[in-house]
Amino acid sequence: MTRTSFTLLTLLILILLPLAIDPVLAEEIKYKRTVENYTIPDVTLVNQNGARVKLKDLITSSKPVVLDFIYGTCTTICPVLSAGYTSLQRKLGEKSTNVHLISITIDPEHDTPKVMKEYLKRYQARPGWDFLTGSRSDIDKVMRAFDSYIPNKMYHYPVNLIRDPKDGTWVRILGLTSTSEFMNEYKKAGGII
Amino acid sequence: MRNARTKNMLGRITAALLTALISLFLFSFTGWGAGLPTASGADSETLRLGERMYRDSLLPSGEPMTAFLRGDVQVPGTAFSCVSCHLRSGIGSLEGQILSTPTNGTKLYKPYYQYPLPQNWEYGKVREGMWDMPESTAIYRPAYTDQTLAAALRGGVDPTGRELNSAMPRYQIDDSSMAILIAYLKTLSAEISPGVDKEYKYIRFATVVAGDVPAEDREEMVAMLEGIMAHHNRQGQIRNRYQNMGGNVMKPASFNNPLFTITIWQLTGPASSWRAQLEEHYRKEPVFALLGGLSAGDWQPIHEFSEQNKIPCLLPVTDLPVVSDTDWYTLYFSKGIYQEGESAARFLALNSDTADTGRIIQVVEDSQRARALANGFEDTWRELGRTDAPETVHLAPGETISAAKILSLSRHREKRPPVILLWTAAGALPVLESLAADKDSVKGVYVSSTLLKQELWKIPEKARDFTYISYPYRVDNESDFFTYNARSWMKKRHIPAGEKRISTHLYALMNVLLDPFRIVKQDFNRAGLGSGDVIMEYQFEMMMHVRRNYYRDYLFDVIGMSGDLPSIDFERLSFGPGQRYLSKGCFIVQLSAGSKPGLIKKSDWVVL
Ligand code: HEC
Repeated sequence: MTRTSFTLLTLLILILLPLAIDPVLAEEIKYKRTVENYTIPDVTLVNQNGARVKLKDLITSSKPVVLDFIYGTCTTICPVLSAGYTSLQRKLGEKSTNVHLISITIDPEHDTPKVMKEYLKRYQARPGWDFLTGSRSDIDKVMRAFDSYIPNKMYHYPVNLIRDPKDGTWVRILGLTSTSEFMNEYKKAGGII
Repeated sequence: MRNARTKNMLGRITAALLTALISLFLFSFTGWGAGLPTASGADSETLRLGERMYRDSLLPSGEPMTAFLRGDVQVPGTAFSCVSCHLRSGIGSLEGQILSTPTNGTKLYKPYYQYPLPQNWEYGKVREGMWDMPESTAIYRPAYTDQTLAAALRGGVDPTGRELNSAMPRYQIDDSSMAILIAYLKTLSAEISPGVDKEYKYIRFATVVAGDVPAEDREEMVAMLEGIMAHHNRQGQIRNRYQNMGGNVMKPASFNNPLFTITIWQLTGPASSWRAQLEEHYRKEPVFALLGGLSAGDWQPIHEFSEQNKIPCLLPVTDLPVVSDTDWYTLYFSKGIYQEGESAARFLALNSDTADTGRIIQVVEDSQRARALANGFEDTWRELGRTDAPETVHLAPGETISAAKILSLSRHREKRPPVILLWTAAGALPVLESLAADKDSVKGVYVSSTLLKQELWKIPEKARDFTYISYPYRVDNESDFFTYNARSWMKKRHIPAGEKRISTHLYALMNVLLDPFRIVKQDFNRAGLGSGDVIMEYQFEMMMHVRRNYYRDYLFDVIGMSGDLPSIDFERLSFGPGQRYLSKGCFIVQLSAGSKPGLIKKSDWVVL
């Protein structure tokens, strides 16, 4: 085909193309909120300092708990989820330990305490934010218990879980939120700022 | 909705005509795809600073960039950079069903169609769903200009006024820094990498055989690589033939499925001369990437050649890789024998039965492998916060050591029996034999299966309960479906499977290399938009597929987004952006009793 006829064809296509496109721009997918009850599995995980911690003990506390699933080298989702944690901690300032933020890795083989510590440093984490790893089978148990089973990192999706210390129920937020949305949910679930 | 559609019609026709005119103008002078702004004007310092903004989120002043996420989340510049979402090549990523669109100049300065998710889509649905894009929901934007691009980066709005997905941060960047970043984006993935035919008919690869590698090892590797090439080429040929039927005369060359060719780069003489030989091979015959590879020595000279010339090297079979957190261009199966030392240290430090050690005595024979074991152990031991460094004896070439001599190194200082790290092949069995005669003299002995090779099975019966073996492979018998398939694939092609596991290792290349290039059915009119060309391009990006984006960095970006893999040899191969060692684990095992001993796992695959 000669260049001219190709150009003409392209021209035609370019004129016709936008006509076929729906002008109603797709709106961003909003997050979905539900209230759930979960049974916390009896597992011992390892935090960013290499310390062994019983997940049950960490979670069943009198403070609100926020939980998410991330990993050290993850792309788009983790920056957004973790930046949410950073900004919640900033708002709390000195009182950052009033809430317990927990990130659980879905890449336990790569995310050693060293990797997790480094990650928290990048997000300027303050006390009150723990990053946990564990054996593949324990991590699978945790993901299943929270109805967040991610069989493969490739299928990672954003979930935030907020536990109300009063009755142990969880608000489940599926999708990404802005900080103000996140704060609202956090307050609704009994969180104090 | 209907109303909105009619109202918008006029505007859209005007926009379409304008775009068409501009395109006509561009194409008639330069041809399809050319005529894009280049950064030929930008000097190397500008590009270095731009790259630092893109990769490390640092302004030219050295200050971290300030960004706002999801409208109101202010993000520390230290947390992430453009690379975190758009990846190193700038072609973008897909995670959690959020598509970070291309941000390389070639794509930004061209009109773009993006396929957003269907409205009824929910989180948790698997990626394959993306393939069936709903029809007619493409989001169109015209080519960016420097001005509209700066506006998008600062204000999060594209040239049509569309608000970008709020995962894309809004950046506070001053004018001069913005010019630097934009100059960099224009050079990012600007040209198809070397080794790719101009008409996309083939992609050239090479494999390196460095030094005096045994002939049977070389044969095994070459048979496997050729098998993989043939596997790809067969499917590619069928698909290309099919595509050329049915009157697809309009099909641009880039719709070809490039076939693969591979040549062997044999390096001879001393290792110090390998680098020059590699450069010469490359000069004569530029390749897109190196595949597999064997070396009589360590992998360092080839690693450095790859790193400095930015030539990918996928999965060389070596016990002696370069261990680095930051290097980019070589993808290894594991950290090699270093990783065995690492696992021994973790097991010893983190297992409550063994953590309370007496003195640790380390015996290192005069070989690169033994030194790598010692380095792996020592680095990890330190990282775990242990200050009691092992006492190390370096043996001279050919020297062996007796059990009595080893024990004498500790007796006079410590009451408790020591732990011995026996990083030596020659003379290991006699040491174990004598220690077995006086079991209380030692708390445990650590040996490496890679170093011991077949001697491993001769560990004396009485020494088996205190001898811990690092074993970097699967232990359970191979009865699963994957292994069965893999074995029969290899058998059908008469690929030898020797003791060194060269071909079984390289079976993983089937996925690592072929998946990003996988042959997929291409439907030219899927979305009814008239031009399959434009549409397919974006669908491939959403699928993390190298097609039409033959950039070396993008190949790594795609590999980094791969799902975990089963393997014949390894318990698990796992991927992640920037991760360069696929197998993360190594069992610590013991031999069972009897004349035909089996392996008993004493640890998890990854010791935490
Ligand atoms: C946290 C993830 C994230 C980070 C970090 C990020 N981006 Fe984006 N970017 C996105 C997403 C998602 C989109 C797609 C938005 C859309 O199309 O609605 C996008 C879109 C863009 C666009 C618009 C592309 C188009 O075709 O309209 C440009 C340009 C861009 N990013 C450049 C950059 C640069 C440069 C940086 C670093 C200074 C950066 N991005 C950092 C996620 C990110």
